Amino acid sequence: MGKWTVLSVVVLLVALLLGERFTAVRRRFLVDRVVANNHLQNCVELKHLDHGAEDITIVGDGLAFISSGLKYPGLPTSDIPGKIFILDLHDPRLKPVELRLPRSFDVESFNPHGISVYIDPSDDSVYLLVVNHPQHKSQIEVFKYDEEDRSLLHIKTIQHELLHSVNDIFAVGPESFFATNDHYFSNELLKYLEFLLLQPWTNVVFYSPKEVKVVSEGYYFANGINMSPDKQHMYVADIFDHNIHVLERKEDNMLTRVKTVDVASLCDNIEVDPESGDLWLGCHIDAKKVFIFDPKDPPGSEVIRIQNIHSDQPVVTQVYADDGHVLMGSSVATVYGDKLLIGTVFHKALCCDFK
Amino acid sequence: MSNMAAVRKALIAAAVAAFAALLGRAFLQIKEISLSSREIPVKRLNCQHLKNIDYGAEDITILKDGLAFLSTGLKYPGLPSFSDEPGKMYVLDLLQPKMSPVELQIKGQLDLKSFNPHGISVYEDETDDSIYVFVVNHPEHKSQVEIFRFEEEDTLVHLKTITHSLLHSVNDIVAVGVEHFYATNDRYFQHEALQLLTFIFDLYWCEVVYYSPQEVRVVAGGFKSANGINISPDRQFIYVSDIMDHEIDIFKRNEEEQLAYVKSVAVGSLCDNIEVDHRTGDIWLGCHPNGLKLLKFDPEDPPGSEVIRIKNIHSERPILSLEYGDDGRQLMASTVAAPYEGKLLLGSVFHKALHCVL
Repeated sequence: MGKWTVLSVVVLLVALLLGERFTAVRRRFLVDRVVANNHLQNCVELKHLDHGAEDITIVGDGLAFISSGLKYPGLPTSDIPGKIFILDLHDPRLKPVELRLPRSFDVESFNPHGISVYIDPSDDSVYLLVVNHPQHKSQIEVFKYDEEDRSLLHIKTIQHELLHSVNDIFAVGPESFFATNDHYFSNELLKYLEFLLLQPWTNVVFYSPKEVKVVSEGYYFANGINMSPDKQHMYVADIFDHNIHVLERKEDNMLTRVKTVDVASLCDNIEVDPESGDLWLGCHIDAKKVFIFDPKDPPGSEVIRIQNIHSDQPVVTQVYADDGHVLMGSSVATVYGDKLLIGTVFHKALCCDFK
Repeated sequence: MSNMAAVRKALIAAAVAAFAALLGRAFLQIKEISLSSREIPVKRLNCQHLKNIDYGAEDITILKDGLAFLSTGLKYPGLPSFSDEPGKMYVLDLLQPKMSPVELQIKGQLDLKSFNPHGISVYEDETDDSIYVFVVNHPEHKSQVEIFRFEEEDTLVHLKTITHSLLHSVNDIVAVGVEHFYATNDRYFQHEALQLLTFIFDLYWCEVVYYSPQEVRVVAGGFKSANGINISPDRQFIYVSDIMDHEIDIFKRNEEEQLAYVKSVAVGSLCDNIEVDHRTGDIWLGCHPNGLKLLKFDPEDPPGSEVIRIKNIHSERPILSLEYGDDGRQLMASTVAAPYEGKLLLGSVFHKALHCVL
C-alpha cells in the first residue's frame, strides 16, 4: 500500500477515535440534559456562603461544618481564600460563623474541598479533616475543633504520593481516613487530558499512620465517599458513571463491591442520615455547564435521595431540582430534623423546609 | 495466506465489529430515549381520585366555564389495560361541589361496543354556542375521528365519523372548526418492531395532518413520535409534543392553515398530552418519567407520573417546573394535566384520574 493510503487510514482512525471520545464524553457529562424545576418550600440563602459550600457535614446535636471557597481547575472561582464555617441548626437565625484558623497556618493558600468529622469516643474531641489543595496540590489537614473559642487548632498536614488528587474523605480516626482520588494522573496537564480519556482509572485509598494502600479501584471519577451508620458499608459516588457504589468494608479496611445503584445524574458528595440510613446526594445536571460557565445558561442543581439502598429495590427519588437560576452547581445535600441543607461548588447554600 | 484471503478476513472482522457496535448503540439508544435509569421526581399535591374512573382517562379537556370532558378506557397495543368493557366518555362540572364524573350517553350511528377513545378536543361554535366534541377512536385498533355535539348536559350526539388514509395512527387532535382539525400520527409503521427501529436510528418520520371537508394534507413532519397537540389561547400557535424526542415543538399557524416551525423546547421527559391555560398561556404536560416501566408493566415497580408546566414558552427562556411527581403509588402513567382555577385534573393511560389542588 502506498504512503498516501497509510496516511489517509491513519487520519481516518484518528478522526474516528476523536469523534468517539467526543461523543462518549458528551454522554458522561449529560450534555444538554433538561430537568424541570422542582422547588421546595421556604428555601433561604445561608449568609456568608456566597463562594460555595462544597461540602457540609452535620455532627452530633445539629452542628454543621461547611467548607467554602473551593478553587477547582476549570470552574469559576473568586480571589477570596477558602474558609471553614460552622452552623448551629438549632439556632433559628441560621447564621454560619467563620471558624478562625491558627496564625501559623497558611491561610492564603487554603483551598478546602471535602471534609469529614471524627469524634474521639474517649474524650469527645471533635477532629475536622479537610482536603486542601494549596496551589492545586492535594493534602489533608487535621484540625481539632475548639468549641469555646470558635476556632480550629491545626494538628498536622498529611501528604502522601497515593493521595495525589483527593476529592473527598471519610475519617475513621483522628489521623485515619478513606479518601477518593478523582484523577489518575498527578501531572496537571495530563489531568486535563484525563477528561477526554474518561477511563475507570481512579481509586479509593485508605490512610492511617500504620499503613496507606489502595482499597478500591475502577472508578471513572471517584467523588463523594461516606459510610453506613452500622459502619459495615461504604458508599462511593462515581460522578461520571452516574451511579453510587455500595462496598463492604473488610477487617483489613479493603473494600469489596456489593452493588451499584444507578442515579441517572452527576452526583457529587454523599451524606448519610444516621437514623434511616438514607443517602442524600448533591448533584449536577449538566457537567459541561459547570466547566464551561455561562451565566446566561447556568449549571443547574439536583438533590437525590436513596432509601433502602441495601434492599433489592432501592428507591431513588429527586427531592429538589433547579435550572441554575436559583441555585448553581449543587454538590452536597444533608437533612437535619425538618430542614434540608444544599451546598454548591461555587455558588451559594440553601436551607429549605423538608418533611 | 494469499492477499485476497487476508483482505476478506479483515473485511469480515470489520463487518462483525461494526454490527456489534451498531447493536450496542441501539441498546444505549433505547435506554436513553426511554429514560429508563431516571430517578423519580417527587412532588406531592392534595389530590383525590375521581369516582368511576378506574380504567384510565387518557385525555381531559376543560372548557372556560369549568366543564371537563374525559376520554376513558383506552386499549392501546403494547400498553396495559385492565378493562373488559368498551371505552367511555365522561363529563365533570368543576363548579359543582359534588365532583363526580357523569358518563356521557352517546346517541346516533356509532358502534359503542368497539368504541376505543384516545385524544379529544372541543370546539365551541360562537355563532350558535354549540359545543362540538372531537374524539380519536380506535375500533379494532384502526384510526378514525368521531365528531359529536354535546347536548342536554349528559349526551353526545354522534354527527360524523372521519377516516382518511393520512389519518393512519392518530394519537390526538385539536379542533379549529366545526369539521376542521389538526391531528398527530404517533407512528410511521404499523408494525411495532419497525417503529422501534425508527426510534433507534433517529428517524423523524411522523407527521401532523390538517383535516377539513375541502382538503386533507400533511402540514408538518420531522417528529420521532407526534403525540399531544393543542393550540395557544390566541389561536396563533400549534403545540405538538414529540414524546420520544423529549420536546415540545411550536408552529405558527396562518390563515391558509399552514404551519411554520418556530422552535422546540426540551422537556427532559416523555410528555404525552398538552393542555393550555387559556388565561396565562402556560403549557401543562402529563408525562411518563420512565418509558421502560410503562412498556414492561410490573405492578411491583410501577410506571410513575409527572406533570411539567412551561411558563413563557414563547420567550427566550421558557421556565419549566415540576408540578406533580409520583412513583406510581398514587397515579401510574399520567398522560394529561388540565388546570382550572387553582385545581388540576390528572389523567392516565390505564390507571385512575386525580383531582388536585394547586
